[in-house]
Amino acid sequence: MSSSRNKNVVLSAVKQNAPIVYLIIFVAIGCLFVPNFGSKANFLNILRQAAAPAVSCIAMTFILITGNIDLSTGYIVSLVSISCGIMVKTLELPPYLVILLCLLIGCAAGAANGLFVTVCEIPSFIVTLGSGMILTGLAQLVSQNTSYHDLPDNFRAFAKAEIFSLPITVFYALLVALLAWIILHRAVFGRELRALGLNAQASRMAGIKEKKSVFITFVISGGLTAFCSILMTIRVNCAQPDLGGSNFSFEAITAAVIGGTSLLGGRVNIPCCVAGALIIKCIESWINILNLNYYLYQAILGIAILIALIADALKNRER
Amino acid sequence: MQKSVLKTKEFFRAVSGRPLVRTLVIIAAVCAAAALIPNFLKFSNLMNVLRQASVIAIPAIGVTMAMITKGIDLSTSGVIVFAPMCVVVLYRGGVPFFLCALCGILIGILAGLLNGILIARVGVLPFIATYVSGTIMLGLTMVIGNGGSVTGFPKGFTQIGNGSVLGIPWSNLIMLVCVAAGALFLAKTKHGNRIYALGNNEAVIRMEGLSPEKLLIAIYGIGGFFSAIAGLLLSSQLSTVHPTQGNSYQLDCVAACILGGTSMLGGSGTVVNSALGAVGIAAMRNALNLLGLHPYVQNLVLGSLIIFIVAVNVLLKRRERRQQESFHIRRAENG
Amino acid sequence: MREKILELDHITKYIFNVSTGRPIRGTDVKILDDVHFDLYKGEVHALLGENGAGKSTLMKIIGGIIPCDEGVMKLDGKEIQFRNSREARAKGIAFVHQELNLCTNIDVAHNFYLANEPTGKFGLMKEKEMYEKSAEAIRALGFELDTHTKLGRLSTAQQQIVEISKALSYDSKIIIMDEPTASLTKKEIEMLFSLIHDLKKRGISIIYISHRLDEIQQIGDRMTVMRDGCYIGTMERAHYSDEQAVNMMAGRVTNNIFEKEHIPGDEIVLEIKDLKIGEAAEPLSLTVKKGEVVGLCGLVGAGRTELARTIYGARPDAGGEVWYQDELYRKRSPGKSIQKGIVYLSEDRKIDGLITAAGVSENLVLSALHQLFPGGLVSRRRQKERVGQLIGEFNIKCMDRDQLVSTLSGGNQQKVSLGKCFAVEPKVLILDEPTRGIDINTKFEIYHLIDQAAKQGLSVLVISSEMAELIGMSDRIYIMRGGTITGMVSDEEEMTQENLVAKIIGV
Repeated sequence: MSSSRNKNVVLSAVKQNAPIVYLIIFVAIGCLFVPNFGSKANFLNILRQAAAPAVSCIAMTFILITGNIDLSTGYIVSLVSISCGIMVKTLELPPYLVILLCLLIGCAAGAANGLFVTVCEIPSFIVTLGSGMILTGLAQLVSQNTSYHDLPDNFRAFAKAEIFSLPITVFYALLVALLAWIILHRAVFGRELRALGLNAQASRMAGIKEKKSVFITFVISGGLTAFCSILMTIRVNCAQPDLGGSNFSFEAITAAVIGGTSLLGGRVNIPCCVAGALIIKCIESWINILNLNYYLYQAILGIAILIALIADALKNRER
Repeated sequence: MQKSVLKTKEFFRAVSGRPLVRTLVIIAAVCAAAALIPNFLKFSNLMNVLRQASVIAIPAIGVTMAMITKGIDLSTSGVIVFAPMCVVVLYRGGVPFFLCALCGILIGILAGLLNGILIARVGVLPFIATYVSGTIMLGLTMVIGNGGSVTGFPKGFTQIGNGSVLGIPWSNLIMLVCVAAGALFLAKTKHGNRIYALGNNEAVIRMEGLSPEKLLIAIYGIGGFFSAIAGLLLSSQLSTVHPTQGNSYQLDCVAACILGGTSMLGGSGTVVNSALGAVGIAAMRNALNLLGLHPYVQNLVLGSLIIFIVAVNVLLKRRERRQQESFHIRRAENG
Repeated sequence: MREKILELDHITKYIFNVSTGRPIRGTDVKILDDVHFDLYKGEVHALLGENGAGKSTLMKIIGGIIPCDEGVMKLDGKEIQFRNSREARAKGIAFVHQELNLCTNIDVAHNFYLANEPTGKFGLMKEKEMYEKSAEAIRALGFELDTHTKLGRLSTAQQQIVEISKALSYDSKIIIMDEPTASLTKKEIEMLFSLIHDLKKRGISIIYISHRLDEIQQIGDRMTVMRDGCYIGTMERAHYSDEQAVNMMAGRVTNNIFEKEHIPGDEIVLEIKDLKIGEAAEPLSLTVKKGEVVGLCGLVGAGRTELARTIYGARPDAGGEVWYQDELYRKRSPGKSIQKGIVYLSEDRKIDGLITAAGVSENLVLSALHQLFPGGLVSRRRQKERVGQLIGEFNIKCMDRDQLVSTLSGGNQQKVSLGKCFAVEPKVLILDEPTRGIDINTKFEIYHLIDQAAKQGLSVLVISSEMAELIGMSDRIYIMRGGTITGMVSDEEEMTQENLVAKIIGV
């Protein structure tokens, strides 16, 4: 009797954390069939590569949980990257000020998105499609067609240290994941967001302030995206106005959806999101090792997210 | 004071209420502003504007129909590069060009049908279904062409994009034919009637024994068809296929429809108005180009324009809906 | 002349299991129970009944929208069953719904011919023919409309005429009209009636659903009354009287009467002064005292839910004041109301009362998140405590506290919804149809809970369509009709079903 109940508990735990299971399967397949995949160096590399995408995926999760989307994240990255370059090289501001200002820029962009979505009640995909264009235009305008290479060491130190032979960015990503987990799974705010995503009308009737909450999610997402941009800029050691772009947004959305976040809102699982980011980087690793056409990556991601979408849509039919 | 407020309100409503008027006003505005720019009003430049507008206007036919049914099509940028990429690769492989072109168009139709099935039968939201399918096609285009351009079209082909007959570019003629066909379909056939009805009241469609799903799948299939044609046209104009050459069309086509008065909330919009909107967008890009502004700055202007128009559109609809609600209470009261 | 065109006998429809869609036979709760209905050629047969009497269900069966579980329907003497509304229409039965089956974004002619568009060369619609023929069809009814007009620009009455003429274009012999005058002005009603007279002369029969006794007297040849899914009786026009109609509609024998225990206080806790629920609505005023249960009755569409939601702050008002504990409550919102201790139980728990995709615990604490967890972090222990209390108090039967609400029975779902309201320790309860769609035992549990709440000093405003229930629970009852509060009954002798029903339909 108790063994069948235990079985049910295990089954439902597996169901809820499916992406982590998928990750394990991916890694297992990789270790078995892809040469050198199972090496320590490769695993370290995957973790290193997955740090920034994990942060962007978590940022996207905040938006997805209320049933919205942000197609402009890639362009927020562009704007923050080039601003970073200008602040560091031209204005020669101290690193911590630069980081703070960049976060503010990200939050401001998010706030603008949030305003149009909440106050004007325009569907988020149109707002962020439009704002993405504006942001990339701004980034190009601000850059005056220059990129900034060779960023100063005191700035790069922010993301260059290594602990246990892992770059500090991995730990930043884990910190962000921890904070996000606390907010979304343990805080009242997270409860409200989940309720809004599942049933906005009922949540409003229960006194949850929809507009304020959605606005805050856009601001948080913008800030996290800016943080991600700083990490990426330091890693490639180049502040450029075309860092990120539409590929970036797509990767973030794909990682989130593979990580079990439903596009209709309400369902989110931070550990699974991190797993999602790791999965897509595993795929990239396979492509690299097997020397496949690099561009296959985007196509495969697309098919992966398509499968996840179909599964999600079919599951939601029962809702 | 009251009278002048009323008059401005009436004027505003007249302009915003009738999409055709609004579109013409906007185009007139753009042209007037552009007239201040040297070279804009040159015949060759205007023909150029129309040439560029054709690649926006043709896929906009499908996007208009999608938006009428409260959906959207963001896969245009994908089909516009994927279809001609397949065409040129097949042609370089020795297949007669006519068959290649046919294949390309078929691929567009299939992509569209896939969108339709995802949206109507699986239940995926239109914007994400088309966004993802568009990205997949873009990815496949990059895989095939290894991320770079691919050339190799037959000589006659590039003539279509760049040549003219009797002074009128072939592109414009093709645009006219497509727009005319699309407009006739939407406005004058029974299918068009049902599409408008579907965007307003799905229950009625079902009650009449029609299938909303079949209509939706057909709409997106048609969208894919026109996107493929536009893709061939664009690659003919540029004599090449590069994966990123379709990127701007994702938003441009939607912007054209919105500019032409198609509502995001469904139920309204016409092919001709969307085509005029496309002309407006092309004219604006052209004008900014002549001013020497970088394409990305054009994006800035375009992005702001879209948000502005959609915001106005949505706010107007909200006011209309609120008026109707209080009206309803008044009537129930009178009874 | 008195030729029967339609006859229904022993029509029964059971409530159905929502997940399987199959009827639950053999239970006591039926939507329609052994109903009889017939219709003569060329007559106007009115159908009367309170909310939930089963009128719409019966009409849906006639119109082919839903099937009956038992019983026989004969059209022109031949037994018949429809699989969908198109089949019914093909056989001559047309249904003009309250929400018209038309599209407001296309013009009259295109609406008229939707799904049957005449097509000519190259597949193009024969538009000239469409405009002319549809105009003709409307003219044949005695009206003149420009068929080029977009439907959305027409008044409701005009839209109705389009729908009726469309129905007639299918050679309908029977037209069912569901509350056709709900949104019409007096003049438009007169036009409709003259149209109905015309149709009668042509031998077309009309089934006319309405609560407006004055209209039914004017237009009906016979009147049938339904109550609680049962057929009560039919009156001929000659023998008709308002009193009898009301008696038939309301006169049910209630075996179980709830005996309330609480005694209302004197202090006014909630006062509504001249509140307008819309621009053109009438100002409304009412009071609720401490420890009092005040009922609000009226037909669907009378404005009760709108009033409740406006008080709560879920809807904007167009003027007027809400006074709570002798203080003016301005800029109301659900969040503010909950903070003050005013809670609202939604009419439809599945839409905005509960989050059906979430668990019982989550739903129960949904309104009380800030109260229970002032620090901003959810304390599992505190949640468990409070949820445990509520589950016990409300006797919510669930296997697991995180069980999805969608898997609970209707009665338990409602108890969760109610528990959610009580989680914030409210002072004022606004309950909108608290016992809709639940079994009799749970209903009594809920009456008891409300009574106990009033005993402890809470003020309750209850909206209900079940007269017996409202009389059993309330100390006073306000009556709403057509957006206004037409009266208030506080005297026990006046609080009878007949009296209330008469008031809500305006006799």
